[in-house]
Amino acid sequence: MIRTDPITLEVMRNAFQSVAEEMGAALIRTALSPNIKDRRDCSTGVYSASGDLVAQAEHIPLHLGLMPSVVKSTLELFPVANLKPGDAIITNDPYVSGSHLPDICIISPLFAEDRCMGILANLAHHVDIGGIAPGGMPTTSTEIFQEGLRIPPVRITRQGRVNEDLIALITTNVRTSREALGDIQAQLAANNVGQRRLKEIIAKYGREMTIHYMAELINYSERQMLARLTEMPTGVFTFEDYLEGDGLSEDLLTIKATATIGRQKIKVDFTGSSPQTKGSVNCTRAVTLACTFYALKSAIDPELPSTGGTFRPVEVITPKGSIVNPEFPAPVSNANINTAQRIADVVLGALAQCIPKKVPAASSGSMGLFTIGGLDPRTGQYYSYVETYGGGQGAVFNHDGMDGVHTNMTNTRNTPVEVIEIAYPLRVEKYGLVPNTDGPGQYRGGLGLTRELTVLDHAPTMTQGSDRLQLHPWGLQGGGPGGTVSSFIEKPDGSRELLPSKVTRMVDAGTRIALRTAGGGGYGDPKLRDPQKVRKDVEEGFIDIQRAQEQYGVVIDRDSGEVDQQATNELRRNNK
Amino acid sequence: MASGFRLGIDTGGTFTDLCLVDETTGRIEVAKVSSTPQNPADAVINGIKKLITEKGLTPDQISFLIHGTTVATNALLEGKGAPTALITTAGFEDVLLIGRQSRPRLYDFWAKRPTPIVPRSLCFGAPERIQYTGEVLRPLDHEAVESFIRKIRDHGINSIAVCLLHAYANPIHEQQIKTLIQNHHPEAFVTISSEILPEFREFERTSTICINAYVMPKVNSYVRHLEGMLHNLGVASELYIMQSNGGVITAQMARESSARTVLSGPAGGALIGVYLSETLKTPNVITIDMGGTSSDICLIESTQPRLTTEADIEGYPIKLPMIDINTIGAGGGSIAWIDAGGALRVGPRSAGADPGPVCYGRGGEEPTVTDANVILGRLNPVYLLGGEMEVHLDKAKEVVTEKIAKPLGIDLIQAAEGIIAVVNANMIRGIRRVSVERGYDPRDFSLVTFGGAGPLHGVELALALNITRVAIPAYPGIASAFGMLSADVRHDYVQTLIINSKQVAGDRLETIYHDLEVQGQAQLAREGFEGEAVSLSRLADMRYAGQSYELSLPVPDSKISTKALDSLFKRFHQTHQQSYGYSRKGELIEFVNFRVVAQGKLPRSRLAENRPAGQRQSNSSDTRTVWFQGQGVETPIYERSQLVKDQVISGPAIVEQLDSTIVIPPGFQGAVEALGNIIIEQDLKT
Repeated sequence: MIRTDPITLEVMRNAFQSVAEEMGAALIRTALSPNIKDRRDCSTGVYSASGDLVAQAEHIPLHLGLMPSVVKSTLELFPVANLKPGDAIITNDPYVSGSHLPDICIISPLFAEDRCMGILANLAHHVDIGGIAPGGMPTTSTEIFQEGLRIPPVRITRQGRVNEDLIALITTNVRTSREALGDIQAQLAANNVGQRRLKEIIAKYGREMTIHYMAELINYSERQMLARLTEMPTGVFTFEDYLEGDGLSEDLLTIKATATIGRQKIKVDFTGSSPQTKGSVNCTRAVTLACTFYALKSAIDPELPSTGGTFRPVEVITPKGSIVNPEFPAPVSNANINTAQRIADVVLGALAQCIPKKVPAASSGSMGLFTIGGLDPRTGQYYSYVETYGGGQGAVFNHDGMDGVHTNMTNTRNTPVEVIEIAYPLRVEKYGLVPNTDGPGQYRGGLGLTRELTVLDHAPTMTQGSDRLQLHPWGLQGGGPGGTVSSFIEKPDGSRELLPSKVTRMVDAGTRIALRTAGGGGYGDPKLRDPQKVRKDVEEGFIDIQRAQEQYGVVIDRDSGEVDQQATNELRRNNK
Repeated sequence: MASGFRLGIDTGGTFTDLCLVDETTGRIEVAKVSSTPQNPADAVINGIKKLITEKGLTPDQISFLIHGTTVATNALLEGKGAPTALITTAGFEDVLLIGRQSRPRLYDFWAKRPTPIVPRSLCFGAPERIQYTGEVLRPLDHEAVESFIRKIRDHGINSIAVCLLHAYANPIHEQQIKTLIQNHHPEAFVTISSEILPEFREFERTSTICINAYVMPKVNSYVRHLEGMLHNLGVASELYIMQSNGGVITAQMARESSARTVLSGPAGGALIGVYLSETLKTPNVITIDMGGTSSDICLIESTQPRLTTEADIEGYPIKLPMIDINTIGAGGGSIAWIDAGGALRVGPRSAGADPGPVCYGRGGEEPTVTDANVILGRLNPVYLLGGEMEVHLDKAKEVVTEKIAKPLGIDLIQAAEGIIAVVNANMIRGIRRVSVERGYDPRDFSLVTFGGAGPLHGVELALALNITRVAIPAYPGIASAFGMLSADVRHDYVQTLIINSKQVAGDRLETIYHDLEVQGQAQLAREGFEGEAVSLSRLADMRYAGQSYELSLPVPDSKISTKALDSLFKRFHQTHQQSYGYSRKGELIEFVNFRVVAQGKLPRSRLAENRPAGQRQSNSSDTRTVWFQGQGVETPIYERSQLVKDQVISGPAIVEQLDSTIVIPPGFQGAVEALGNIIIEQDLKT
């Protein structure tokens, strides 16, 4: 029996975390596609032999709870006992508890002689996975088969030898075969790095110690979560919010969470959420778990480690056949863009009733997907520009929300204006914040973003994959809602047309596409906001004088730009 | 034979360090004086006076003076730069606010992006448009710009940044705006992007330009003031300033291109690694500068520090080339604590210099790394700083016992060794980040440790990383001031032009490089460099068409023929293979940026040897109990200044000097090299 010592525990924690980070660095360094290299839409992790997460390097929060689910379910189908040294498993099957099809996971066990010592795994978002739409995220699919190639858990390497037949099958079925091959090779290389490093740890500390401390790190994370739980009020907290349609219809879809906080346990129950829908916004249980864990970790303690122990005290109930746990063969490709954000909103909304000072108001509530593609008249080549747009961050106790930023389940960087114009037949006319989209509050929500593009000399197809066009991001503790999405197109003849939140359409040459994302909700009564902060927001052009008066009860003198204190006091008193 | 004295001066938070080399004898003299944050020039002058008085010199004997300053850094970090306005292209006034639209921390709702240097109300959108091709799509509206300038002037703003879209492709509108500013607001400082950084990607460029405008007035007045004081004192040398890229610039250049000095001090630290890699003939080293609150880690490959153009200072990106320094929150003052899960953690919180560790007896109440080193006998348990500071061993013991040992159920020594093991684990992760994660194997490197705390930890860090050699410079406490003396004058020039391997022609490239080189040569000539002392090197940032990241490759300075281009493309494939594990032969390659590095070579000092061998070897002055792996060992203590050339000290041993302490654990030996550097390696006899 090995005695756990708190010093070795911390030394080992650093060591395993280094393994995960070095795998991540190797994956990003050797990947081919910008999706992984630039946007860092990938994660790497070290798992115990039983498939419990020991250390993870995640670059976007969506992967926090996602990859552990994939690894666990894969190992159920492929018990370690059936694996040999040098074997690696590949899968992207949402119905083995994965994400959407573009997310490919590769899982490699590490053996010391005949004993499995641990598992190295990584997940990467591929540029394309076949199916009816480039990018594997069609807004119009009605079953998983249309969304692309589905790879069940199968061996991609067998005792160190790559299964070329399988690679040929995959690369034949995707549009960007070279990128797929390159990225899969990078994924295999990342696991090799992890295996080599784990071997070094085993050589240094011995097998028993390594296994012991893997388990202990998981227990340690659980202890940290339990310690935080004891600081929380117990009770039952329910919240629901809506998704504005599934891309095929505009009917509201409900997402409902009931969080039961106990002394030693949290239960999050999604019973009451809408049944799965025809369109592609269904969210697999793995993604639902990821969003739930994200919300819990952020609200309870951002410093909680990412291991299999952290969320042991958490039970998540996702009714089968619902939008948060669909049954085969429901389409799932667009769940990550909007449904994932709404699930995070709903869990945060429930937690806000329990720990109100630790939870922000609703953020913009969508990843704001925009894609446009067609033939580039300059080169005659097909191009495709894909970007997700940030919006306003919900305000939180004591802090305004950030303006124009990615929130909750994603954090990918934007494409610079100069790069867009060099690379695509588009001219950017404007890239800025949208004034007056703040959710008013003692702490105000962040502003939404706008990007206006003119289509040059060709007629491309564009998609907006967004939400919060009808229902505003909510405020908290008396804070008001953030502004909604308000994208439109302006045709060459000058006529304007409002864009639906989810739309795929052709646009003519010379069309100006104006994308506008939602703001974030406010926190606390806006009438309590420091009038000087309101004045500053007016001076900086974040809000106008009228909004200052109507929403914040602050009267600003038009000439001097200063607060009219007397008029403000009066206005605020009368509005009480 | 060279004559005169070369002086390096580094301003730090607590002390201003000076290092003086006598060019005739090669002897080194060092001094430390208290920094004067209100006016850092005072400490510089105090230090010079102290040093020359002690050594009986006159100021006119100082023939070369190089200075590492924190004026730009502090202006930026403390938000105390000049109020600045930005003129950009209309429609893009929010470029600083949006940045790259990402948040700094994934799970922390309170973590915010830094407030932009220029408030939105001072960002003006000029009606104009230039295409990425350089073609003017919409001419500049001069009247609108004039009205902005009037507003800026009426606001009392005296520093203006100008950064227009695609100005790297055609600077005409920026130049017109500069002229308008000079006409309508002549006292304003102006920074235009096409002069400082003609490189694409608007957010990073704008950020850099604004930082330059923001720190420029402060740097100007500081440099001017210091120059005046040096002149009054009678210092012969003109003033040179250390830049973030490891090169030196004249005071004049620092005034125009102030953003180039934001990492002035740490760059000097990295240069001591360059110096040691040259003198010790170990081209690859990793430097660790471990101070009170943090450690700076830097990788030097083939005697060149790794540079980056992707650095940011507290979230403010700066696109100018800088030495790639990884700063981690681990230092002597880092606080040990037990987390909610029951693990022992160290840092990132630090007791800093004030109150400092418990053993300083200045009111510190949290156990620190320094306290652990005192308890283990590695640091002198009676006094530090050559007797200037009393050490309160009892207090350190009490705090570590109460706050760490008792709660964890371990004894005092285990707790102290635990604190060291954990801080080392943090540092090892930091070292792996600059090496393994960037494709380097630490085993191919030597470790150079300095700073007050570095030499205490060096051997244990090396052991954990399978590094076989640790070098400790002769003066680890003033490493930056010393390192600066081995720098050359350096100017970096860049021009963005995106052009692929099919379109490109040798003479087009030749013209671009020629223009950049002319700029570099002219600048160096103004600074008095010509002939052999001038070195120009060409680089090209290249990528496969469609990629969004680049590799920087050296380009030969001979005429660029088709053959030379072919061999450049071949080398690109090879480098890509090496860096990223694959190449795509037959694929279109794009040039993105063209760079010229213009260097003016400064003479290196010939340093005098340490006390020559043959003199009586120093014996240990004393012994004390030092703890290694749970064992108390009676360990000899050496005084560093008494060591002689070629002396070999077998571990366990402690070598003390004024501001640093070296630990040589059992099984290791330290050899004193000719110039006084100590090289520690495994003792093969044991």
